Amino acid sequence: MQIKPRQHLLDIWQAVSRHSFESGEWDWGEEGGLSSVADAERLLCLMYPATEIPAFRLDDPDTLQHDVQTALKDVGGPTEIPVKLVRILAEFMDTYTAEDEGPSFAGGHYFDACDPGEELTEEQRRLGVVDSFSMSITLCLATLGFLKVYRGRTRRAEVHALIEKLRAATETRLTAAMVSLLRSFTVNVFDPDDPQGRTLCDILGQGQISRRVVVERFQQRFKALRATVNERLVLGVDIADRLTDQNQLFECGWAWTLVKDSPPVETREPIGRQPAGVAWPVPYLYFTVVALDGIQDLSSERTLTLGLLTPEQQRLAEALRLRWEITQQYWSGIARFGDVWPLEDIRWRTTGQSMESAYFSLSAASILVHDLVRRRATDEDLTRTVAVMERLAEHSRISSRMTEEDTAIVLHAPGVRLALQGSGDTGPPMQWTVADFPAQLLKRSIQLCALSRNVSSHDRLLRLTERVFAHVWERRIRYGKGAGLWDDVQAVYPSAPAMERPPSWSFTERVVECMVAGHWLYNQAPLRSSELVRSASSLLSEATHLFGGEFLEPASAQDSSRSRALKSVEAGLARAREVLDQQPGTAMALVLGALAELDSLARGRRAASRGE
Amino acid sequence: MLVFAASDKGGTGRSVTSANIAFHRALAGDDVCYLDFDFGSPTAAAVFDVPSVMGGIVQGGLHSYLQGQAHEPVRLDVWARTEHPVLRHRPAGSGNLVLFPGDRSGGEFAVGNDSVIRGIDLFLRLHSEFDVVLVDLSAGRSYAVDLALEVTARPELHGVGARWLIHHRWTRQHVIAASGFAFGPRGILSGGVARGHDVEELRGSMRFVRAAVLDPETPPWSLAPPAQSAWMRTCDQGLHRLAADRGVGYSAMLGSVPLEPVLQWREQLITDEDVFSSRVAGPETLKAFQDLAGKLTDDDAWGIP
Repeated sequence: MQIKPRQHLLDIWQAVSRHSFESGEWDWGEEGGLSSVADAERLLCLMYPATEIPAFRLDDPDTLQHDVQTALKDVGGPTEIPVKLVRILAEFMDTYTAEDEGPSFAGGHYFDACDPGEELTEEQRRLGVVDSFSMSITLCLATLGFLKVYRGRTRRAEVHALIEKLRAATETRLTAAMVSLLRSFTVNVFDPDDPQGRTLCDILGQGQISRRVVVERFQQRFKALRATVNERLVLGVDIADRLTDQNQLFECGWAWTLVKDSPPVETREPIGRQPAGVAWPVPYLYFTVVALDGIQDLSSERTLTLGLLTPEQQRLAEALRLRWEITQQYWSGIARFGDVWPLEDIRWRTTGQSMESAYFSLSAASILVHDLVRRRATDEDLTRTVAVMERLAEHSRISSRMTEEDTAIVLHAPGVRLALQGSGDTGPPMQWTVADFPAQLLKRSIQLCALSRNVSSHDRLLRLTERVFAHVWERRIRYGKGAGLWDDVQAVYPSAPAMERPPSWSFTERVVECMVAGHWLYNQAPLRSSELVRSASSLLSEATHLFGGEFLEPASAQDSSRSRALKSVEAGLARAREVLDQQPGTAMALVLGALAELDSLARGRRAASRGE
Repeated sequence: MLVFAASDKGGTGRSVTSANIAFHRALAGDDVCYLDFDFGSPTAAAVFDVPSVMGGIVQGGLHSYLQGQAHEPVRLDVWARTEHPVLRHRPAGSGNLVLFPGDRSGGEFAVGNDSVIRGIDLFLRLHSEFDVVLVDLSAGRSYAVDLALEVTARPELHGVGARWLIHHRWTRQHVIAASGFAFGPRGILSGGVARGHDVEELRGSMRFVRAAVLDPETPPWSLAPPAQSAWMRTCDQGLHRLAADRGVGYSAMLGSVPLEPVLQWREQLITDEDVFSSRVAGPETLKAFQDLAGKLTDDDAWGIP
């Protein structure tokens, strides 16, 4: 199924506004206010395209385009939409700000007890989570940019007051989210003989190389990075000491929430008391990817050009950027370790949590995609990643049939369950469920597709994205509340267990991200093949020559059909010359038309000369 | 309510649109009067199809009144005097529709204090008699515009709602001209402020009306050849951006009237008969006038953006 980002986004917007606006008023629903992650995801469904795609901007009622206006008619007229957004965003910021404690990043109902018989405590549900920190960064940046433009477009005094209040709250939330992300980052050092060490060696050696050799190669490969971590990051004395020991292995990334005993970050911004951390200092592959996605927005072109960060926030962003860089390099190195990549061995095994799933392979691939985006990897790396993506689609039964008793169903329903280490201190142990595999796969494939400048891998990726997209689109809810949103697993796998809480905002938000990525994909110039350029210029040269020869014939009257034909040939050739480098295929089509036209004249003359 | 219809250039459909608005308000049951202040060339009578005063009346019109040459300006009951075959049967439930024609040889004249006092007196009396008082001002920064700004700035007219409709065609030049006419250094806004109007209040009472708008998404333009259609859509988007930059965008617009051959060639009222019986006019055109007439007093459409 071909991806048409604009049409599909409009469909989603229409479904969101139908679901969330009850006769023009935003309705948070029963689940609203219970999880900062879900509510942020829901708002991002509107705000993310509105900030990323110029045609979907909602901050200027005067330039709102007709089809966008129609899709959002349940929200209100063009002048009402931005005001309503300001109100809704303000409500969100209000709901997730505790009286004296500053912004809250509660995971809420996204947390479950590992043992279904037990009930989580209130205190546990109020714990922050990296998903919320990261999502808040994206949402806050989108909000700040939106307000910046809209402030200049409205003249209502009461709205100006509202904007000012919302801006202050958003800035505080942004700072708090950045501080929380800094405090959730962790470096874990372990011995090769520890269970974790053994797992890592198994991943890297894949049973082919002895553990001693793996440790040696690890030392070589990550020598520079190890030094950077030690010099640039402030670590606990104990960790710093062990990290200097070259015989120890290490990993870095993000834990699921603030790390236990992580010191408060000094800041002058009024973000309230910084809560104590609870998570073990062990990175999760999943939360690491989530954090990387959010931090990326801090240094996006838009953030810089609009000047959205205060000097204090820029300082925090720099610290996050450094961790982003280190983590990226580390995991990209791990994924591509040795001749046969660990990444190519599907069903990645996480070291910290000892879990095995294709989801983690996708997470590792995501980090690699980030790395490819920055052109640090070669074309060869890209081709290998494409193969991994294809196998992931196969493995997760998106591009193949789900068999009976297939274990891959877990990826889709109920999803991969991550036990949250350290969550059991104040109640029963908690877990986090991720069920957005197809959407994540789609997003990464589209991102890769936008990167690839090689015709064959581009084409493979395009086919893969279309395949995955057809699957994702099929999974929309058909009837009832939330129709047009996600996720109805039974639509594709009838035997899957029913979902608990429709609609799933996390799935819907990921699809929105995919469509935005798709927009940028088609915004690029098409791939050009050098062979086509060569053929097209040969054709052009032949046509130009024949066209010149045509003027050796006696001139025709100005409005005769022959002179009209020649004019159209001339215009076609001029255009072909213009687009030859960028679109050789188009140039060829134009030249071929011109050649046919010229030849029809030649054929006429030949027929005439036969009669003499 | 006083409604002033102004435009920077001629040919913007100011008189035709205003007459249609007046007509539809009257059909809806309001008592409406139409003042032809187009002192250069009074034309409203032609639109209402009142041939006896075509091109203005000989004497006793609005010019004579303002210059003190007549006690009362002549008023004509449109329902009774029109020769329009449909209008002559006044529909049940409709309100009064009264035309105040201009003088045939009126021309422009300077605004003196006397005319201002007469103007105030006239507007106050009409305001108490009619629901909507529509004043058609001559094009450009004319004396008529000055008079309207002067009169509405006076304390006597406080509490009498006044709204400004600025008519323009949907083209680059007209958008730029309309914006300059409204907000430029010699525009209505600065002229009003110089006479004591509050800038925000006056700006809040100004809206734009687009005329002869070619919408690429509705027939027949949506049926144009693909390349032409792509061209039109791109041009239209460019116009929207231009309008937004110049303060003439969606939020400052009250309505837009589509390009309509009947209006282009016969400046006339669009009736149900034209749309549903003879079908010479498009239903969109009728709807546009009905919308405009409705929005005139709909406070939502006049909120601050």
